[in-house]
Amino acid sequence: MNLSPLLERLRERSVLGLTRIACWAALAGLAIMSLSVVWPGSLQVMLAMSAGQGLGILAFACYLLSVILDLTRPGARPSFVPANARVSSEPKAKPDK
Amino acid sequence: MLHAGWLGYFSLACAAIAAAILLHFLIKKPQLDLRQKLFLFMGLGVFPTLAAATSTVAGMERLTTRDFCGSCHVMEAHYQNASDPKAQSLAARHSRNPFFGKESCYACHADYGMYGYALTKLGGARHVYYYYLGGYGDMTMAEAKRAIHLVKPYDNLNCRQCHTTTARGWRDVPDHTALQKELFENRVSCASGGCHGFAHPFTKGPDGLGMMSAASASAAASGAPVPVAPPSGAPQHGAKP
Repeated sequence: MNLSPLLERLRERSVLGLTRIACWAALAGLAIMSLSVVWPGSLQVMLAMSAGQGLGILAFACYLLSVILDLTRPGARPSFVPANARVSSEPKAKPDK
Repeated sequence: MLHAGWLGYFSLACAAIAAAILLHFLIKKPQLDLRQKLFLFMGLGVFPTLAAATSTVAGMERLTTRDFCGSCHVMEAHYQNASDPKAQSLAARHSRNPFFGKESCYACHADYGMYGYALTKLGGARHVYYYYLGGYGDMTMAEAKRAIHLVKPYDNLNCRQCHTTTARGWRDVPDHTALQKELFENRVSCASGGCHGFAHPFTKGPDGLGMMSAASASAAASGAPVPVAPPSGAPQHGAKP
């Protein structure tokens, strides 16, 4: 049983998934940090410096991991292609006669 | 609302740019090519780092203001007295200083030295803990006046950051020269009843002279409200015994 297509697919999904997780985590962190600027209070500032910056670091780590996974992927494709673009680029199946 | 000045606006601008890049990626779902990766690097690395750094500085600056210190209700009396333009307490007179008056609480209570900033912030974190989890948040003003006190005797070094004790005007005062050793060793406090007066005299009894003064005792005997002294062994304002 050849596992490489499955691993390849998993890796592609991981790259995309990690990048999306990074984006959402960064957005949450940015929201917390912005909150501490707009409504500066002791709890908000402490939350921004702990949870906000922690989420930011987590986001950047996820992004770096996704880039590393993408670069070390066998097949030499520089990046993955979004699902909709991949479908449109595949040769259309001939209708059964 | 927003009090952090240009640094706060800069932080918000960086956060907005980063958010725009990230939302564009999440909504438009573009191909993750090199160009997009560089965009994401800006949105996940560069701009959030700038936003984090500036929001931290802006937040810390905000936490040094007198308005912030007065935002906890147990500090309301201290805040009102320090902000009163007619008050003559040590805290009020220093709060009218044009150079640091808006941060007078921080200027006088911050620890100085190599680790002063970090230690002051740790002390601030302890205040937050006491306020939200240690019962200070539920106290009435009367209870707060009785229970809240300095964690350690006030260090004259904080006075000497401005009043260097080397000017002729200081040396010409006989009490200064006579007590110089005691002052430098913190055995006599500049902000004590016998010297320049308590910084927050309303916490020292009805006459502002101290809990155990004769006037306070007579006021208590006549039925006037007198704050109860802190628990024995607890550090208090003013001079060490």
